[in-house]
Amino acid sequence: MRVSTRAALAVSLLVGFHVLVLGIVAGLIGIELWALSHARFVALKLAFVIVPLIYAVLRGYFTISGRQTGAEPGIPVSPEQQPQLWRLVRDLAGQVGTRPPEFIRITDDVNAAVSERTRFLGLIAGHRTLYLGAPLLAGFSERQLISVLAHELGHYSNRDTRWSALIYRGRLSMIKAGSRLDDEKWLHRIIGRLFRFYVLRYILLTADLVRRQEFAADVMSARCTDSATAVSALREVALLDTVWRRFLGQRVFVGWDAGYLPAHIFTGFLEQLAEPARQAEYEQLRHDLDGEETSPFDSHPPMTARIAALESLGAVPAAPITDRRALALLNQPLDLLEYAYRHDLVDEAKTKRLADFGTVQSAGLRFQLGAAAAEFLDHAGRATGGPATLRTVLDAVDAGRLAALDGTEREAGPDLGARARRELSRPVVEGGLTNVVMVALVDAGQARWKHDWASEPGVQITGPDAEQLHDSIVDALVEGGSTASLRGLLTAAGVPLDYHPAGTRPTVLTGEN
Amino acid sequence: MVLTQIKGFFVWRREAKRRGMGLMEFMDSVSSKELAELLDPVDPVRWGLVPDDQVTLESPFRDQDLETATAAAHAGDWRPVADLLHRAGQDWDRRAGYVAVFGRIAAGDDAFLRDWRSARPQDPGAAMIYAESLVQLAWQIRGGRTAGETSDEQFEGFHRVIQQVEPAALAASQLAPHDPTPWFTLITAARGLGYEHDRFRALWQELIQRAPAHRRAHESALQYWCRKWYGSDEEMFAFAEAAASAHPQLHHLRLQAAVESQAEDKVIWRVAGRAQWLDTERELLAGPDGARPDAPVRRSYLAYCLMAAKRWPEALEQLRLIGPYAGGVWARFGDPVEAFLHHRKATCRNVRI
Repeated sequence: MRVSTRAALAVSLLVGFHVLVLGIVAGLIGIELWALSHARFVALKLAFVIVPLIYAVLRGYFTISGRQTGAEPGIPVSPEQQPQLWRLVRDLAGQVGTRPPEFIRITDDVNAAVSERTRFLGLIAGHRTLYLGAPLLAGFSERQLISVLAHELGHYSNRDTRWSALIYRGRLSMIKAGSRLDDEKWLHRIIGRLFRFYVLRYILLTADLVRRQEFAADVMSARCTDSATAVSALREVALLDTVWRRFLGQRVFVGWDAGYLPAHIFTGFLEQLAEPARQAEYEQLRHDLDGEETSPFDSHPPMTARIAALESLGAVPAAPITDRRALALLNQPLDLLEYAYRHDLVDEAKTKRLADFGTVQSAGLRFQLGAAAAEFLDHAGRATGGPATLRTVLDAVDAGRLAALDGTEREAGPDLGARARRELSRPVVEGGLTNVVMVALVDAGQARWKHDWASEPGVQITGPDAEQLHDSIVDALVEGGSTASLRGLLTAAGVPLDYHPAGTRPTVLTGEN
Repeated sequence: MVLTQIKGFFVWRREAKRRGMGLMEFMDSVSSKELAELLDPVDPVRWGLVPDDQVTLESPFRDQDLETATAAAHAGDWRPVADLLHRAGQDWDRRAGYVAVFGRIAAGDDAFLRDWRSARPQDPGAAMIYAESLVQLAWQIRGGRTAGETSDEQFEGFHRVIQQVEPAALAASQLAPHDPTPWFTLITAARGLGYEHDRFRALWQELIQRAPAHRRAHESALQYWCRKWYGSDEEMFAFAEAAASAHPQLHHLRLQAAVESQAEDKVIWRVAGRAQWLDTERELLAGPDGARPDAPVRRSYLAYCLMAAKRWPEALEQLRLIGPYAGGVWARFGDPVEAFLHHRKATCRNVRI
């Protein structure tokens, strides 16, 4: 199908949707009216079918074409608060040839988007909002930010095809609408299925058009900067996405269960990004864009295709580039990002103690590992009838009772013999025993939690030789092994064999923070 | 059609009553095959076969010593096992059979084996059973379900254990360098270890240097070469051909290969050269081979292939000679006894027609 035909069809599907629904409803009412004037009794019976049917159709229709509701993510920033950012956005909207957004909101994710409140499946446009993710603002250079903004605004410029902005809006609201239909009653379910079928046709029909629009929007971003910057922005998004997710898991929420949160999240994030020892890995991540899977519901073409298209465009900067960090555009940038990020956290976050990253991580790891170790020991105590201590575990290991030490719930396997069960339990017991040993060493001052931006968080053994310790655990767990050398090492390190980790309850703040 | 239904009504109602069920309940509880059989009953005894209720999985060649040693191993006593292996001497096939039996026992509970190995660390028999038990243990952990229904933990356990087979088998081979049994274990483990063809051929050389006509090893290697593992129909048949022409006592490998491919290749027995295999196997089993311990298994393959070739009277002849033993080819079915009974009935019915 030719692009223009396809576009015309997409638009007529959008318009046709409303015409079709109103036509059906009018037809049903017409039948009922006709019946009323000719045979009252039949009309009465017919009404039992027609009235619920009209209701179901209208209900589905308003669900799909109604306004999108729901709380807005992030926090708004006004032109007075962030004049430089607003000026940049307005300038770019002018360059791209579309109207600037009415609102700018800073959000907590690695994303930038422009969205519109639309009605009638995007046939009527409404307020426009620009969403900017705090991690992007932290990681981007100014020109990378310009490139991404030009792309997002480019979707609303009408330069590529006459109907492209309309189709783009229609598609977004169709996708949203498809997930809003509920299916409680059977009649609604049937009508809902019909509507969903229509929505699906539209989405598949426009997949190709929308991909073309992505390429067109990319061209826009290269024109407002240059090819190299546009490519670097795409790569930077991939990098920031990965680093941010890891950062949240390893550095921010590591202390959550223990009752801690870092006081300055974005200061840490910037340090993490700037860590010299990580730059080679980051460069790798920027280039790790291959091998993505695609589906008709994806709004974007494969990243590699976009990069190839941008590079072949060969847009060069109009003038020598002077680039700075995107943060330079903002007033009090770190406070803003910090506030935006915390704003979307659940209320429970307010009960957390704020501390530096080292403290958060030590408390968090001690809590997690301590809780895991305690759980393992408690199970061992219950399973053997002894006290829940390290000694009980070591004795059971020496007696070859690995399966008893393993508290994993497994699907009943009647054909598993004692030896097979022992074999399955071996790695579980190794993990549990290692946890107990590590926490015990930390508590005895023979190991510490290491915190630096260059390496993954973990335990650093300072007392006994780490390799020797590992070997002694392996020796204890092989078939017919012995815990003698492990016991010797632990005793020499001052770990009491009757060890059970204390302090595995979270710290909870009460009252004012 | 209507008549069949009316007849069915009476026959099935009588059977349902006999089982103390209502007709509908009865019809839900049995398969359509069983319902059909009730309408057209066949009594195998009238065709010279043993009665259905005498059919058993127990081999007609009872090995009293093996039974004693098995009971001892279950009770934790390794000495009778050690004696048994010692007495098997250089009867490699027999030795491999014993190692497989005790390997399976040790994969479930290895108390006897642990005692044995700590009492006699240099005993090659114990080392061989240990290596074999790892293969069986690995497959027990893997379980018989599809990959989707098998947990990561099971896969990891399987790999961890199967990786230990090679060092264990090589250690056993060091204790008894002329014994092919550790190599037999490795030939079997090669499927689980996913060995490449070259690596497998190297193992195979080690084995046949020590025992050129090792029956169990050939049967195991045939599995490696079949399509569902690491070979193809061509490689499997080439292997079976080579073995059968070098060693007449391995002639049945051709039939085993045929059974492997039969499910896909319905017309396999219409090829003249292959039909000849059945004649040869039949003649071999009419001679001294028919008195060997593996004769019932070989007859089961022959009977099954004769049925596939629709040579019913000859199949019936083999079934008569097999007697009550439901082992051999029938072990490929979920319920061997049921499969054996079903194929017997089908043969009787076809001979009658």
